[in-house]
Order: sequence, then C-alpha cells, then structure tokens
Amino acid sequence: MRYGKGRLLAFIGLLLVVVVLLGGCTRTTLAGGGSAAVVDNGTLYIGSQHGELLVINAQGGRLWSVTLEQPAQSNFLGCSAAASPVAVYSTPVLDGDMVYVTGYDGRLRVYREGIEQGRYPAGETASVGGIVGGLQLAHGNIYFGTSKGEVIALDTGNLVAGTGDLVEKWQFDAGERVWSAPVVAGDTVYVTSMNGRLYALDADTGVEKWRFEDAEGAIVSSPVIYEGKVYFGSFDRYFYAVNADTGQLAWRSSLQAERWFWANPLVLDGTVYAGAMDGRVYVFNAANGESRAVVDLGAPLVSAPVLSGDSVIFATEKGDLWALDTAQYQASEFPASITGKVHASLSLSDGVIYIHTQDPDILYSVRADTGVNIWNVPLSSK
Amino acid sequence: MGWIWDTVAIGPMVNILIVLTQYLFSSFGLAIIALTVVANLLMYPLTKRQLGSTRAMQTMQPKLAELQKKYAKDKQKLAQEQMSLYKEAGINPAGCVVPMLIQMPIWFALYQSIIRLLGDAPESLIDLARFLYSWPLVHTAIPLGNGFLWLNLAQPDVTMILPILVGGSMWVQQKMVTPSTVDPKQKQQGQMMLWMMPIMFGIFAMQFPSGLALFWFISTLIRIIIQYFMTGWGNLLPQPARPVVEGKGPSPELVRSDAKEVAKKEEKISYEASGGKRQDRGGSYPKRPGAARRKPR
Repeated sequence: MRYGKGRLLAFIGLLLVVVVLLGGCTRTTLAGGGSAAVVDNGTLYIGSQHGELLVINAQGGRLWSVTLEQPAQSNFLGCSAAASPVAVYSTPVLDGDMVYVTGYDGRLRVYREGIEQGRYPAGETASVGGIVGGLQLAHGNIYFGTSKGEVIALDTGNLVAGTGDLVEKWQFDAGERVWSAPVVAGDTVYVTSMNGRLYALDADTGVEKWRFEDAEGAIVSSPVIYEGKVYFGSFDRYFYAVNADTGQLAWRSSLQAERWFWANPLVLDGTVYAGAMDGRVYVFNAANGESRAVVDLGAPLVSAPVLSGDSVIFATEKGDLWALDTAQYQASEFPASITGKVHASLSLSDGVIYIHTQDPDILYSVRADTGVNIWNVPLSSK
Repeated sequence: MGWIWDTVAIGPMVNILIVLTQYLFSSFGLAIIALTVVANLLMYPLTKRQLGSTRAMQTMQPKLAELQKKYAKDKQKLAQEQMSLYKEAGINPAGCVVPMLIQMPIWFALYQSIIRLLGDAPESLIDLARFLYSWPLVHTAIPLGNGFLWLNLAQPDVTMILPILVGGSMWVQQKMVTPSTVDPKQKQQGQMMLWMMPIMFGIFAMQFPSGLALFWFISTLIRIIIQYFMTGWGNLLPQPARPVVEGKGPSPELVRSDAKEVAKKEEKISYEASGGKRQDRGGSYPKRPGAARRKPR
C-alpha cells in the first residue's frame, strides 16, 4: 500500500487521537480520599482530598495544617517523580494533644501541633498497604485495618511518654481487604473484612476468638455493638446481627436491599437505621430484625449518619441532607445546599453538622435543628 | 449521552465480565480472555470484510500507481479513473473503514468495563455499584481477585513480559499486512507504520494495569490467527521485493522474481511477434543468392 504524505499524517493524527482517548479512559479511578471530621472542644481535625491534615476552628478558620506526602518514586524509565500527596480516608483520632492519621500510602502518622511525633511503619518507603477504614484507640493501643488484609495493633505507650515510637503489638491476617474501622468492646476487637467475615479478636494478643462467615458478600461498613450484638450490613444486600460473645447469627434481615450496604449503621433505642446504596434507609427492630420501615431518600447512601435530638441525619451521595424522625420514620429534607459527592461520614458537635464533600473538596457546616448552611470552607489549597 | 452509553454498553459488559469470572474459577484474567475471544468471534464477519477489503486494495496498488503516474497533473481525471477502477473491480475504497468504525465502540466498551472492574480505590467500587444488575451473583462477587498467573491485573506488569508480548504481537500483525517494496520512499513509510504502533502500545502496556495489556495482547493474537487463515503469513516470512514498473516493458502482471522465467517469457513474446522466426543469435554466414560454397579439402 502506497502511503502518501497526507495519508501518513492522517494516520499519525488518528493514532494521537486514539492515544489521548485511551489515556483518558485507561486510568482506574484515583484514590481521592476525604475523611470525616473529628471535633474536640470546637476544633475540627480533618484530612483533605489533597493529603493535608487540617485543623480548623468552629468558625471555619484554619489553625494549622500539615501535608502528608509519600516519597518520590522512580518510574519504569528510572526517572524520579515528585513527592505526591497522600489520600486520607480515615477520620483522625485524638489522644490528648496527639493526632493520629492514616493514609492510603499505608502509613500511620502522629502529629502534635503540626510536628510529626512518630510514624508506622518506620522508614521512608515502608508501607502496610492502603489504609481506608478508621482508627480505634483503646487500652493504650491503636487498631486499624489495611488493604493487604491485616489488622494491626500498635502500642502507643512509648510515644505518649515521649520515650520512643509506636511499637507493633500484634498483626492478624483477615484474608482480604479491611476497609472498616475496628471496634473495641471490653477486651474484644471486632472487625469486618471484604471476604464477608466478622472477626472477634483478643484486644491484647490478637488471637482470634471466633469468626462469623455466613455473609455472602464483602463487608465494608464498620460493625456497631449494641446490647450484646454486633450489627453490620453486607454486599450481599442483607443486614446482620451477630451475638457478640459467641459469633452465632442472631438474625438476618428478611428484606434484601437492591444495592450494597456500605455506610456504617446507627443503632439506638432498640432500633437499627441502615442506609444502603439503593438510596433507602432500612429500619429494623434491633432485637429480632423485624422490618419497621423503608424510607427512600432518592440517592445512594455511602456516609454514616448522625443522631441529632429525635432525628437521624443522613446525607445522600449527591449532597441532599435528610432528617429521619425516630418516632414516625418520616423523612424531611434539609434546605442546606451542598455541592459535591458525600462519601465521608457526617460529624456532629454542639448542634452543628459537618459534611465533607469530594470534588469539590469542601467542608460544610449546617445547623442540626434547622438544616441551614452556616459556612463552608474549601479544604484543598492547590 | 453518557447515561445511554453506560446503560447500553458498559452495564452489560461489566455484568457479563463478573459472571464469567465467577464461572471461570473466579479468575478475572480468564474472564478477560474469554470475553475478548467471544467479542472477536461475534465481530468476525466484519473483521473478515475489513481484511478482504484491505487485501483487495493492496492488489489494486500497481494499477493505481499507473494511474497516478498517468494523471499526475490532473487530479480530477485521476479521481474519476480511480473510481472507475474501483467500480470495475467491485471494491469499496471505504470497505476497510466502515467495519472498523462499527467495531470501535465495542472495543471501547470492553476496554472501559475492564478499567472499572480493575479499580481498587473506594471511589472505584462506589462508582461500580451503579452498573450492577440485580443478579445476586454480581453483587457478591465483588471485589474480584486481581491475581492472574504472575500478574496483578490492577497494576502494570513489572516483569516486562506482557509489554513485550503486546508490542511483539502487534509487530507480527503489522508485518503480515505490510507489503514489501524496493521503492525507498514506500519502504521508509512502511517501516514507520510497522514499528510505530507496536512501540507505542508496548510503552502503554508498561504503564497501564496489566489487565488492559492482557486484553490488548489477546485481541492482537486473535487477529493474527484470523489473518493467517485468510491470507496466510503474508509478508511476515521473507519475500523478494517487487520492483516498481515504469514506462514500457513487460506489464506488472508478468514481472517475476525468477530471471529465467522472465527471459523465457520475453523470448516467447518476441518469437510470436516475429511470426514464428527465431531471433538470429549470430554464428551463421549470411546467404547470398548464387553464392558457391567452398568444398572442404
């Protein structure tokens, strides 16, 4: 085939178009992060989408911030890329004036007034695998799960005393990604895994006490302990209650959601409120799993709700805020205007709800009684 | 528009890939291979037509070259003569383009579906949820295992084996269809075409998730097999170049690489043209009327 110059140029042009299209279509969704806020005495601690740990006052003013960066890595040509920000998914945890924060780069960092006090694992390039679920601080230890399927307990004693760094106490192999936050009740750590299992581990040694593996789908939501039972939803679209001492199934919901249970449930006054990605809130009797109501909020529910007075406040993925009355299970929409996706859990303090959106990366504050916007602050300075 | 594309193209592909994974020993790698093979088989009629058109165009090239020489200064006449030639031969010059245009959306849908299923960040899974049908199997199958042979399908292949396979197989396919020639210009352009895409896709395969590289490799392999059954190895095996014929002399159809055969043909033509008289090759005396012949001593 004779290739004229024109045809060759056209071919090169077509190839470039294909390259651009493929380039635009070949990236898997990047880890963006965006944690919930933890509030302490009117001060908010939050991880932004651009890898910053931000400390903000109750009026939205920035007090201090620190950028979590992962070191420069060589690409396949041996060229070094610049240090890149770390996606932060888990809500920071406070212990006195220490702030514990984990990143998707697989590291836990500890700060005091913006200065790093310690990290795990040690070393510039060491990583335990992306950390998505939250942290739990109890018994002088900090517990978290990783994308490599491990549950890790670190002793914080030396760090708190200022005599050393975090020390690994134990590691447990859960078999598949752990994207939920461990929950500690008494001397037991409860943790769910994406292989559909709920584990009960000894908080001091990490030895498995029992496991529940009847769920057929992955479990991403953190378990909730209430009156001797462990509650969680699964990707098989059922909701479960398991005996916290024996690991035996207490009940499984008779209703099946149309999409996954992703958000953490809320349990109070004998009632379970579980939001699913089909946009519905499933309300169950906590004792026997009897369905009390199904309330359609119109968009996927990914973030954990909060309780405000007599209402459970939900945020849908597209930013609508709803107040679900706990007496009649009637939902009313808040007038607040929220732009962006809501994946991070809601936070509530002193009558103010804090909502962190992705794309754009903004922190909103909304009055819990009226649902009216107070202020909003862009969190990414880049 | 995006909603239509997601519903008509991505949704079915995603769910089929998940179901295939579950039935193929929970191997996402095998599911990619299986769906790529099935998609190629379904598009075989179009592929066959495309390859046929391409081959027909190639056989027309000598005649097209003659026309271009003849009407180099009259573009309009050239275009007319070319169209007449296509019509006589029953060839549609766009015959190799239309099947490709039909196939491209299918490839993009398969491509994007694999991308979505390979994502391992929370946002990826949340986004994936909206594509899942109500079949129980697809909901409980997530997350799909990313391991296949030595590969992590969600990450580039650090061993470089797959990028080399991608680039190498593309080169083989290109070589099979690239015609050989002695014209320096055509040769240079042909070489550029032969190497550009394999190198480019080889580099892509180094950077993109190996699940995508696997898809590219299997697709190319299937096309090589189809091509082989249609046209043989083509120019992959060493062949002498065909000279470009200019002006007078034997017609292109008679050009042969075997010089003896050429000579025989030319002799035959000359014999027939001379009315059956053989060409005087020398070595005999010219005859004069009435000339006596010396008697040998």
